[in-house]
Amino acid sequence: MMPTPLLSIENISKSFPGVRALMDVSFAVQAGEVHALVGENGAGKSTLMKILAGVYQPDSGGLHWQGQSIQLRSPADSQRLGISIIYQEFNLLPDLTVAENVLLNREPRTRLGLVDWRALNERTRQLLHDLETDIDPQALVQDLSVAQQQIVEIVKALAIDARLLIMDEPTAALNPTEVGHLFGVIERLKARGSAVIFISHRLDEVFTISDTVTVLKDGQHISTSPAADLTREEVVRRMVGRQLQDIFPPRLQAQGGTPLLEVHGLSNDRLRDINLQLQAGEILGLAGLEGHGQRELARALFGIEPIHRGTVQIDGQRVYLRHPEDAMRQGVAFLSDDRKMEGLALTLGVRENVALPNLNRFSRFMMVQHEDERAVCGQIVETMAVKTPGIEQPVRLLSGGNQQKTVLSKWLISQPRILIFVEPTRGIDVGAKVEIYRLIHQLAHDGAGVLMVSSDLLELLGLSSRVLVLREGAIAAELAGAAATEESVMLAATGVHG
Amino acid sequence: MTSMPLTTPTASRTRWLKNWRDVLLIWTILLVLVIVASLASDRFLTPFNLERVTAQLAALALVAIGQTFVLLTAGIDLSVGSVVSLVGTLLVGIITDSPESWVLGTAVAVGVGALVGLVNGLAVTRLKVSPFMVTLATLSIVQGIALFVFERFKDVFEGSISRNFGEVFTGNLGPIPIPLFVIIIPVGIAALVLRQTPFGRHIYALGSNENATRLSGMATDRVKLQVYVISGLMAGLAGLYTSARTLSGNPLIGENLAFESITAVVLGGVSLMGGRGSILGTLAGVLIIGILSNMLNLLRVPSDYQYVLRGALLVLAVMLYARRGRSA
Ligand SMILES: Nc1ncnc2c1ncn2[C@@H]1O[C@H](COP(=O)(O)OP(=O)(O)OP(=O)(O)O)[C@@H](O)[C@H]1O
Ligand SMILES: [Mg+2]
Repeated sequence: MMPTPLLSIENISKSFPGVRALMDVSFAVQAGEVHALVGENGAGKSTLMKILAGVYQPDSGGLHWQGQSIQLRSPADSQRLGISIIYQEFNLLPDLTVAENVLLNREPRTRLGLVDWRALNERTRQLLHDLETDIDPQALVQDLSVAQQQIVEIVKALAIDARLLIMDEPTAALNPTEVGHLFGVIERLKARGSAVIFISHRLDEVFTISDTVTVLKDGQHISTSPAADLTREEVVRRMVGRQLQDIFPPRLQAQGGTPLLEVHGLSNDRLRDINLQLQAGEILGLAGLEGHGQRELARALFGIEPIHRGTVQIDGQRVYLRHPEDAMRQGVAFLSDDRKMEGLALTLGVRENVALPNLNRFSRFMMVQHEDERAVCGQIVETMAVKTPGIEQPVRLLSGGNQQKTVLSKWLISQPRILIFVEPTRGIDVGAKVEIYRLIHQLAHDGAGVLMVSSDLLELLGLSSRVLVLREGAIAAELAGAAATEESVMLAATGVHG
Repeated sequence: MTSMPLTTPTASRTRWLKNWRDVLLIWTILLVLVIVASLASDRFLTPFNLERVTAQLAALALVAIGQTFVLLTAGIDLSVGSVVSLVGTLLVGIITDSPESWVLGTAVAVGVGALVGLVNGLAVTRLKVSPFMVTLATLSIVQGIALFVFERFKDVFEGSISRNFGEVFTGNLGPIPIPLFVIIIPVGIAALVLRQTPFGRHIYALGSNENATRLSGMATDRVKLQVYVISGLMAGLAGLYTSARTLSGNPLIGENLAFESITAVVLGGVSLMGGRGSILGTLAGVLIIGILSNMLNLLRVPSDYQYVLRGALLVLAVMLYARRGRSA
């Protein structure tokens, strides 16, 4: 006989116009366990979590909290019970400081009832310290990287003493070290008797941290089993309904000739004397610890961040990248890791977003040809298996992973010669990743050059022909072939030797 | 829902309905208003009255078209009214019976409008000042120039405009009054530009997420500059039309146009946050404003009541849109 579960989810169903997101889902979460929730993009994970957070009301079915039937009509109801949630999409206020965000609505007060700023910053510093980050509590959120924002979201949820902590893809933007710190915190919560629901598309993480694994597929509950009884292959089979092989396509070799992209002595505030070459047919990986310049290099090469010194050549011709449009004109495409702020026009439809950088291609006599546009957009949306009731659906209504597929789609069809991808598979499920790897590989095979930044080291190593490791804004090592391993990359990134 | 069908025809049809729901809503309100007006006064549905309403509305329609472009990018143009005033004032001194002066007058109207638009656009894109502040400043400056010109050069800029010139814009083409063309042709062109051209699509994308649009390689600053120039240009044309209709120059004639145009555009379903709305909606907004005040005038309702009623209508429309926005 199991003890009374902390939370039981009973026959929950939820529909949106045109989409049945959850159908008759039931399972239970025990106190003191880490309960992983996995499933493909659009399987209904976030929807279920938002029901637990009081954001959505189920169409039918109910919840029991320690055996008592409960109704969560608002996020306040849910918080009162001790449920805290890290949403998949960030909800930070960019104009406020880290500390103000973390303790929003719970600001410590002085005896006079004013905000106690010192306590506010101190308490936040403490929480940040648990995750071993050096984020300044007084920094403005708008100045933080995506990974740092993710950490702030985590800290914000930890600031509530939660009985049940829900983490919806907390690690999608984090590197292995940061994930390690997060897991330390999760272990401590667990020891205290709290329960954690953990959502991730990285199955190795799921197996490292969780006690129980629940699989959802197309809004239906497939299974809930102890992690110890499962293998990675079995989870994948339950998630996607088939076996997956050959995650990574065969490694590509540079095609030779004039390099597509050549960088000499590039420097700016964050980068020091970068030299690199990208050949046609090559996938070049940029590795390193968070904040060591990979992201900045990618952005500088698309004209988003300034280049103070050094030269950039494309096809052997010197180019000046002052704005993204300069880079676009040279056939460069750039996928940002911040899809909400920099990737998508959320209120517009899937078609409009995918078409945006491709409008010239769809236009004749200065008019957009809607037939062509619909055909091409429909095609890529199908190839990428974007789960949506139609290409006119506003992207803000898609699940996180499907939004990511939409941003990817718009660049994949833009026929670029140089692709700069930052975290291309952030939040994308295992099955879809295989398809995306295939498409990136295909583009390179057909003569494009790809520059990739990813915090997922396995992905970076699996896809790249060569890997450049950055440390403190400079290139610390270039690794190719068998020399590029997790160990060698981490060694170069941390600078432990050499 | 196992393995969702992608892009089913039914789904895209309902989406089409959704896209046009704002427009349907506002045109329905317009239709109701027309019915109410014709029941309330038997003079409403007479050719004479309708012609008069059309003639009165054309200037607002032109300004509102430009305003739509600007609001779609999440900007605002408060300077349009003073452009109309300035153009009207200048044209009195320029337009005579000679066709050459008509060409010159048109060039001045277009030139002044485009110039003010250019200044607005440059200040917004280069100096990064908020559109509200920039156009509030140009509103004041251009208004000042209009008054200055009118006061200081009274002998040149007073009097009336050639009646023949007025006929060009206010006469009839066959059985159809020309002001109708003054409304329909620009509306058609604007609708085409917004719906069918890459430029139009950039405007919507820019209004929805400027950052993402810039990082999609669009020259967002150029698009912004262009919408302010378009707005200024339309205001210049509205000034030209107004002088032709009134045959005089009044340095305050455009005073209410900025607010009226914003009211019309928002009534028509354009979001002040940008990225959402259409020219057909704007047209309905313009017609509603015109027909409402015409009806109230026919019923001899004093103008103070009219202002209150118009405000109430705006609040109502905005509430309807907000409700719909949440449910969508
Ligand atoms: N507010 C909404 N309106 C319409 N459809 C929605 C809404 N929220 C979610 N959906 C749809 O419900 C389905 C489930 O979405 P959900 O966000 O729960 O997926 P998920 O499992 O979290 O996926 P991911 O791994 O991509 O985050 C998707 O098809 C999504 O498009
Ligand atoms: Mg999700």
